[in-house]
Amino acid sequence: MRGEHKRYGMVMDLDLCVGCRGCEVACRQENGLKPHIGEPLRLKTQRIPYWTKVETVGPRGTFPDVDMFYFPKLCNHCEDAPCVTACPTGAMTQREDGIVSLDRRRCIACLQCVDACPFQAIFYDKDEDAVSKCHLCAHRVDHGLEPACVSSCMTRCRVFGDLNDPDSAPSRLLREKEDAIMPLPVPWGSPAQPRVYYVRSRRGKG
Amino acid sequence: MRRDMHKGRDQDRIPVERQAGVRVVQTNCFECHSKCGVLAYVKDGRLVKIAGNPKDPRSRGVMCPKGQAAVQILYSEERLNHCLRRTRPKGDPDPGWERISHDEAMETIYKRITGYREAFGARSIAVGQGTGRGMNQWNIRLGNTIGQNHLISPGYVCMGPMLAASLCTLGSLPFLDSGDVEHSDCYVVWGANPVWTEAGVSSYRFAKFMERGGKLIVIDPLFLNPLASKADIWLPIRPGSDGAMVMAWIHVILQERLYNEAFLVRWTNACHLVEVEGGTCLTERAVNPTATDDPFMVWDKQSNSVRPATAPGIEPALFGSYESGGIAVKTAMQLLLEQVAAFTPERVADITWVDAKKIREAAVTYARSSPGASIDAMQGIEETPNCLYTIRGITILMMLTGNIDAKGGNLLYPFWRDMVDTRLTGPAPPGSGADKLGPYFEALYFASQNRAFWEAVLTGEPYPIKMLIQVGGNPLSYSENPGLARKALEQLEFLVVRDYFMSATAQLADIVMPAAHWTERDYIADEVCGRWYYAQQKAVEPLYDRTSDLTFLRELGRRLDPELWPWRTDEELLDYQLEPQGITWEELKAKYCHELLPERYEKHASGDPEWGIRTASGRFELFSNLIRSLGLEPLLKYEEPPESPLSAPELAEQYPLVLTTGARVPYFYHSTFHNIPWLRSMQVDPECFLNPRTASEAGIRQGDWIWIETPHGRARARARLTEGIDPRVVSAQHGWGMGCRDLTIADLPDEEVNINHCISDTQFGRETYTPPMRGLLCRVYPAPRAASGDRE
Repeated sequence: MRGEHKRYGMVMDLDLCVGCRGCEVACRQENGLKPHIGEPLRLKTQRIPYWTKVETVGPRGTFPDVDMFYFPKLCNHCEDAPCVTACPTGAMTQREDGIVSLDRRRCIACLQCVDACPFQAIFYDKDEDAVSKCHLCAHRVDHGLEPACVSSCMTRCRVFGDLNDPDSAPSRLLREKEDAIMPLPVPWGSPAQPRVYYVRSRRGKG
Repeated sequence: MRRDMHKGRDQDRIPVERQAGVRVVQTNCFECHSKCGVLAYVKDGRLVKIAGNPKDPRSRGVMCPKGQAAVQILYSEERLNHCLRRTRPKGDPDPGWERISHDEAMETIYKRITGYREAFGARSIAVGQGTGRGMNQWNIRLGNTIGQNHLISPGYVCMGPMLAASLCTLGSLPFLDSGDVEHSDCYVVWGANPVWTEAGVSSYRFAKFMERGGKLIVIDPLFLNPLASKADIWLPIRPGSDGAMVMAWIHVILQERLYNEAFLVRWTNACHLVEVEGGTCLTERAVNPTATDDPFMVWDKQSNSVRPATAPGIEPALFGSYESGGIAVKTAMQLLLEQVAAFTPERVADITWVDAKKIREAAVTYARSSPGASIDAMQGIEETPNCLYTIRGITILMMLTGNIDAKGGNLLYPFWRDMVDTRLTGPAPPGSGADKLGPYFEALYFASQNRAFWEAVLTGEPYPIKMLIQVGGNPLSYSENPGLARKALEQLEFLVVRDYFMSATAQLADIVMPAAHWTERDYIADEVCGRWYYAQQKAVEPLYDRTSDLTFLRELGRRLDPELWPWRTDEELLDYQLEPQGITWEELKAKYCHELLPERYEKHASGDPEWGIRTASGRFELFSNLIRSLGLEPLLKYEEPPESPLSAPELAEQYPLVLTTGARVPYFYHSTFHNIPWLRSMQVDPECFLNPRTASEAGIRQGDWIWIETPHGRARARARLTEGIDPRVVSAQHGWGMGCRDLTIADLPDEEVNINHCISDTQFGRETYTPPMRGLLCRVYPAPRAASGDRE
C-alpha cells in the first residue's frame, strides 16, 4: 500500500561497495564540507568531519582464510529519531518525508543530539559553532535529484527512494533481498528505527 | 570553501543543476586513463561542480574520488600559474624562481634545442612524459621533429611490456584490460585493481557482473584489493612469481584437455612445426629449396607428412614430434607442452605459495567458462624482469581457451595501433634507433633504458645528453634508484618541466611551465575508450598563463619544422587527428561521444583486412617468430626475481620478507593529488601492509612508523597490520612525497618516503628493461619519529 506521504530512505548492498570513497568526495563537493584529518573526536575543537564515510570491516580471520567488506555510513534518518527528541531548541527536526534536517540558526551547540545519536552521525562544527550532519541532500531531493553520494556511486551500491512506494527501487530491493536485509542494530531501549538498510555481504570468503 | 551561502538550513539551497545561469559542458575526465564522461557545471566563468555524464556508455554517470575533486585541482592555490625561470644554481635550496612570459619561455626552449642540436646532435635532447594518457603520439612527434626519440617515460614498468608482448603475440596492440566483463562468465583479475584505478569505466560493469553471479578470480598478494574480498577464488600469490602461475595454468589446461582445439588450429600457429635444432619455425624452402613461396609448415595427419600450413584439405597435428627429410621437428604446441611439463600445480605451489588445489581450481574455472572468460592483467605482473613472458603466457592462455575477441573474452580495439601510427607520431629520423641507450640491442622496449639515460647524462657516455623536455611526468617518483635520477637531473644542463604543480622533478627544472588542467583545455578522449571517441572539451578558459600540453607541443613543433606541424591552431590539429574517423573537432564537440565501431566479436575472422592478424604467420602466435628473430626465447620461460627466497636464499637470511611495491589507493594517482585536501584527508601518510605475526616479531604496532629496507635502500611508512597478507610478504605504496598546504602537511623528504629507493636499477629483464618492483627481499623494523613532518 502506498503511504500517505513519502518516506525517504536508502538501501546499500554491501557486496557491491568497493570502497572507492567516491561518495565521500561527492558529499564534500555537494555540501561544501571542509576536509579534516584524523578520526572524529567528540570534542568542541573538532573541525567539520564527514557526513558519509566508507569504513573497511576486516579482513577478519587468519590468513589466508579471511573475509572483509566495506561499510558505507551516513545519518540513518531514523523513525523516532533520538536526535530530534534530544534537541531543546527545535533546530533538529524531522520532515514529513523522514529526512532529519537541521536549522543551524537555531542550534545552540549543546551537543545533546551528538550524544543521543546511536550511530555517531552528528558532529560539532567549530567554524559554524553548530552541529553538522547529513541531510540526505534534501535540497537535491526537493528538486527531483538523488543525493550526491547516490548519483555518483560507481557500483550503484547506494539505492535511494521512497520507502512508502512499493514500486520504488529501494522497496523492490528490500523485497528481493529480504533474507539478507539488516538495518544497523540500535542500543537496547533506543526508540530509533533506522531508515538506511544494508544488504549483508554474501560474496567472498574465497 | 565556507558554507556561507547556506547558513541556516541546508535544505533551502538550490542545487547547482537547478540554478539559473549555469552552463553545462559535456567532457571527459583526465585524472587517470579511464576518461569517464563528465558534466562540468560553470557559473559566471567559474567551474562550480563536476559530476558524471550519464551519456558516456562506459561510465554511465558515475565518478571516482579523483575526478570529483576536479574543482579543487583546478583552483588549488598550489597550482603553477606562470612560466618560471631558475636564477640560482641547482644545488641552491632557493631556486630564485623568476616569472617570465610564455613567449620568452618558448623562445628560450627553442634556442636551447637548436643550440644543443648544432653542438651535440639531436640525440643530446630528450622528450619526457608520464603516463601520457593519450598524448603519447604528440610527445613522440616532438622527439621525431627534434631528431631523436628517447621518450623518457615510465613505459618500461607501465604498458611498454604489455604492448611489446601483445604486438609479438597477437600482431596488434590490445590492452589486457580489454576484458568484456559485461558478457563474461568468468573474470580473472591478475595483478590489477580495476575498480580503483580505472574506476568509472569498470566499477559499474563489475557490479553487474557480480550481480549476475559471474565467477571472479583474483590473483593478488593483498586481500585489501577490493575485489579479492568479493572473489570466488583468491590466489594470494608471492609477489614476482606470476610467471610460474601462468605456466601452472597452462599445464592444467593441457593436462585436463580443456583447450579449444578448433581455435588453436584455425587462428594460432600452435600447429606450426619448429625445427628442434635451429629453434625456428620450419618453412617450405627448408624442405624444398626450389619452392616459389615459403609458407610455414605443419604435420598433416592424413598424409603423415610435412605440408604447407596453407595447403587445402589437410588435417594439421596439434601435438607431436616428427621428422622430415632428416630434419627433426615438433609442433609449437608440443614445445609448449614440454615447457610447462615441470610446472605442476604442486611444484608451482612451492614457488608461488598458493595452495595447489586452488591453482588447479582457478585454471579449470577459467577454462571451463571459455569462450566467455576474460583476464584483466595490469602492473602487478608487469613490474618484474620476467614480465614479457608472464604477459605472453597470459595471451597464450587466451589462445588456448579461444577467448581472443570472443564474446565475454578479451577484445581487440584499434586504438593503440592507431596511436603509434606514423601518421600521428611522424616518421622516426633515419638511423635514430641506433642511438637508443641501453645494454641490449635486442630489447623490445621502444625507447632508451631509464638507467642508461641517466648514466649518459652524468658521464656523457656514449654521447652527451644536454636537455630534457618533460611534458608532465615525474621521473624522480617513478624511477627505480631515484638517487641516480636526482643526480642526473641536477647535473643536466637544461631541464624543462610542464606540470600542474611544483613536483619533485619540477623543483630541479631550469624552466617550469604551467600546464592547463583538463577542465581548461581541448583534447580528444580516445585512449582506453574502447569503441568510442569523446570530445574532451574545456569547461573554462585557461587561468593565468596556463597552456595546454598540446598547444605547447604544436607551437614548439611548428617553430622547429612547420612541415611536420602544419596546424596553426589546436582545432586544426584535432581535425587532422580525427580525419580517419570521418569527423571534425567541431562535429565531435557537438556530438560529444562518437562510436568508432559497433559491438562486434571475432573481428579477425571477419575477412576485413583492417582486422587481419599482423604477425609473421598471419595467426596469433603461440610461438613468436618476431621474438625468435631477436634471439630471445620464442615461447615461454619463468625466471625468479633476481632477489627472492628461492633465487637468493643467503640474502633471504638477512632480508627474510618479500616486498611488493605500488599498492594502489583510489584517491591518488601515482605521485599526484596528495596536495588536494578532499583527497589527502582520506590518507595522510604512506602506508605499508604487513601481517600482525610479522609485525609482532619485529616489535611493530598498528600505526607505527617503520622502515622497509632492502639491500638497495630503505623507505618509511606507517604500519598497517592486516590478516589480508601472507606473514612472509610486505606490501608498500608508491608515489609519496608531496605535502598539502591546506591541511598544513609538509612535503615528506623523498629519501625517506619514496619506496623506489628500495629498488635496484642494475637488475632488470633484458627483454623490456623492467626492474623488480614487485618481488624484492626486505626487512622491516620500527622507525624512530623523525623530525620531518611527523604527527602522532
